[in-house]
Amino acid sequence: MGVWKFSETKLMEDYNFNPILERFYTYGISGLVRENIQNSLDHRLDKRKPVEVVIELGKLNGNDIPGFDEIKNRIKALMGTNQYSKETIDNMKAHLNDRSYDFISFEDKNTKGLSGSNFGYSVSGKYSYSAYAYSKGIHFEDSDKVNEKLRGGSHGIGKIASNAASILYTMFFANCDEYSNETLGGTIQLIDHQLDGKTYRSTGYYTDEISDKYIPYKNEEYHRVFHKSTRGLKIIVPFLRESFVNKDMIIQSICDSFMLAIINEDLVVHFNDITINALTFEDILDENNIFPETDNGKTDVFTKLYFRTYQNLHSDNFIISDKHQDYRFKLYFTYDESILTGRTGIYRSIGMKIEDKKIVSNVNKPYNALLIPYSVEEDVFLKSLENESHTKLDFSHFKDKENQENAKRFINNIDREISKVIESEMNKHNPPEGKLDTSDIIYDIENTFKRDIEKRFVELHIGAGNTKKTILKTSDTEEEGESTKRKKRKGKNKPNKLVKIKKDFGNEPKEYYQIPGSLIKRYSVTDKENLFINVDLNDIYEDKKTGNLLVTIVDGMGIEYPNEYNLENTYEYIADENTRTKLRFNKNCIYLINFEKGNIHLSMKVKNHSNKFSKLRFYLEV
Amino acid sequence: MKVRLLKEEYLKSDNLFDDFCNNLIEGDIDHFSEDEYILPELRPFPFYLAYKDADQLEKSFMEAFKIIKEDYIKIDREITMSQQFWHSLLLVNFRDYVIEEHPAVTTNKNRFKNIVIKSFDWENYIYKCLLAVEYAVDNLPEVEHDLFYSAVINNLDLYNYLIKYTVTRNDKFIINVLKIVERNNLSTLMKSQIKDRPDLGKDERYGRRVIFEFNKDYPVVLSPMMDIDDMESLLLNHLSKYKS
Repeated sequence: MGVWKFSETKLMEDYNFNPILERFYTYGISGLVRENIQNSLDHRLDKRKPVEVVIELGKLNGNDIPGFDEIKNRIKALMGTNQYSKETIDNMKAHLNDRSYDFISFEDKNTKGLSGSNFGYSVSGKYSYSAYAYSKGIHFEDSDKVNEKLRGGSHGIGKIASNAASILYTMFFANCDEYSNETLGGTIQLIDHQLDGKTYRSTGYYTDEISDKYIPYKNEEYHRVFHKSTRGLKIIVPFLRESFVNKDMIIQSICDSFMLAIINEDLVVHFNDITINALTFEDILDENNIFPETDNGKTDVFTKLYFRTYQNLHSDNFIISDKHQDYRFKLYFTYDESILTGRTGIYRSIGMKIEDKKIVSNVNKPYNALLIPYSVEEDVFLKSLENESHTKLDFSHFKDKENQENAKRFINNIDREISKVIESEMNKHNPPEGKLDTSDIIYDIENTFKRDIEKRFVELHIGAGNTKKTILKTSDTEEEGESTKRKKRKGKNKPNKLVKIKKDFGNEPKEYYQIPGSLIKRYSVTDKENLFINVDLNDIYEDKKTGNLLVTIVDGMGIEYPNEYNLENTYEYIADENTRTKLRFNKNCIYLINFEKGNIHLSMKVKNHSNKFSKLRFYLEV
Repeated sequence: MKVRLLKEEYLKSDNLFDDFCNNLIEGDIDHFSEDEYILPELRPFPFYLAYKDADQLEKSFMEAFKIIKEDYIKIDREITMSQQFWHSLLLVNFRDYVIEEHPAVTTNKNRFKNIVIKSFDWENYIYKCLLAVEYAVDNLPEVEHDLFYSAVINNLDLYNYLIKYTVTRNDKFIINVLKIVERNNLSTLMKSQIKDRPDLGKDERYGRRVIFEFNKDYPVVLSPMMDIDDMESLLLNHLSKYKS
């Protein structure tokens, strides 16, 4: 019998991977971080001290991962029946012989750990170990009811988030309970498969089996990464997906999701050599690679704003109701014209943010807010509204119509109540000033209209002598709207200077002078072509006597191609008329043109006319 | 048949996939905008045509052309050229058909995005088919339609390239190019990769380069007005720059 236990079954039933895996995969590394830290906060031991979570990101060799040989054999036995499961399996198989594997682990301290590990699998529901280790889709209810209510998880699928982060859908958990029982368990989520003539179910458990009963392995002689010697739980995700290996993103999502827990000293996170606690939090927010300054001030990470807003309590008796009753919240609020994206952070009592809520028709208003439940009662209600990934308040997961309607009402009321605050703050900052006198505007419009009409018509004379008639005709060209006016103005100031511009002619981007079309003259007679560039080169190049000219082609949509035009195919020779010498040239560059006369005059002999309709642009090397 | 348009912001929302899978879109009035169209009965048609098998490809395209011509081409272009319309139609009115034809869209979010809410541009099969039918109906006698359709299917790479860019997305130009390609038996050559010109880039094909040559000639707008025979010699001349 192997170290991984799969139940036998008569029929292959599950041909698909558990769909929740795919869904959690899309939540990325931040989904994984949220899920695991939240579980740790839920199992806090001493309420006077913060929960500590130690996150480690590193590499493991295949043979350090418990039962890896068996995992390989199982995966080799998987048969995909549809495109999606085939792709997943192919990807798994492609990673069976990697030189090393990324892993991430989450170890918690000042937490309870799972209880009853020494009893192994049990149906009584008395011990959290059995529920966690041997079943999916349920969570163990804490016998302490208040605590149970405050817990973050309500969908019981936290564990599978860890499987989803692993290329081979594998996760381990090392547990140490209050009696210092150290055990190691794990799960792997595959599909039903056949191996050595037997058919197995999709889920495998890393566990010992003694007289038909699952009992966890003692945590001895495993690689350091799998050890857990203080009370609590340690989750290890081996074969971590490459896209999840992102340190900055991990720190960002810790800070963003658990800001309140951290600054209220309910949580401390150690990540590799960084400690995130109430003291270091602000400094970490200022780190540019983790919370980058965006050019236009728009961002989808609002942690810094929430941190600022948390200083401004707007009301600790902010009421939002559903169909039946009122719920009390604390609202923190900032109004600041420099904020470009308005969001309301909705938090749970455990200090975890659920959502950057967009308030209907206020998403671009200059505000920021935090909404936090006042007591357990509100928190329980909020928790019931979370979607399964704890990233949004939602009503669609309610099966009961009445509950669904009620949830919807409540969510709509959040929008409404916060809109009112935003509106009143905006009015405070931008007081409406009396009535507006509009008579001027109307006069102005009338006048412009008249002028526009006059301009749009031209007089036309038809016939001669007595039959001569004058009629009005609208001119064909579009008349002077604001935009054409602007164009004209631009036209007047047509650039007749060289502009420095970065271009890539195949090697790497460099600066070149772009020569505006207005300075260029080209004409051709039979197979001779002349090119004048009328610019004072002595102005630009102080003591450079020669330089290279590059040519690009522009297509019908105005897109420019730096390496498309081929001078060699087009011209037999190119000569510098100022010095009367032939010049060397290749595909898109004419070399060593003499600058001493101040302008450029080239003559070419054309050997192939197929390029004569091309539109060209010219550049000088800086 | 009533087609209610889903709100634009809802079509972009993260919930869309989950709601679609759990059949929660149609029942919720909040997801819909004020706009609705009352249209003659519309039949669903193959709308995602990434088939490798040539027979399957041809069969499905032809079916799509046929149904678009019978049911959709009469509808105001403002409606049929709108992404919101097609996405609403697929997500709500044709939900059962979509799931039956492409079961993966309920298990894989990426497949869902790629198949059901694919953006409505030259890469979208509905868009491709709709334009082809328009071109045929507006320009060709009934008897020539099928010939044009098979030319489109035969030269998909070229057709895609032609409808991708605004300058070449012109009915007469496209019809002429495809006619020339077919009557000179150039279909296979045009879609094959240019192997002996590493200077051009990785995935260059004869057909695309020839169209690019048209695109480089100023003034570009003249090409559609050219007589097909003049255009033929120009096209062959462009081709000769790449293939002796």
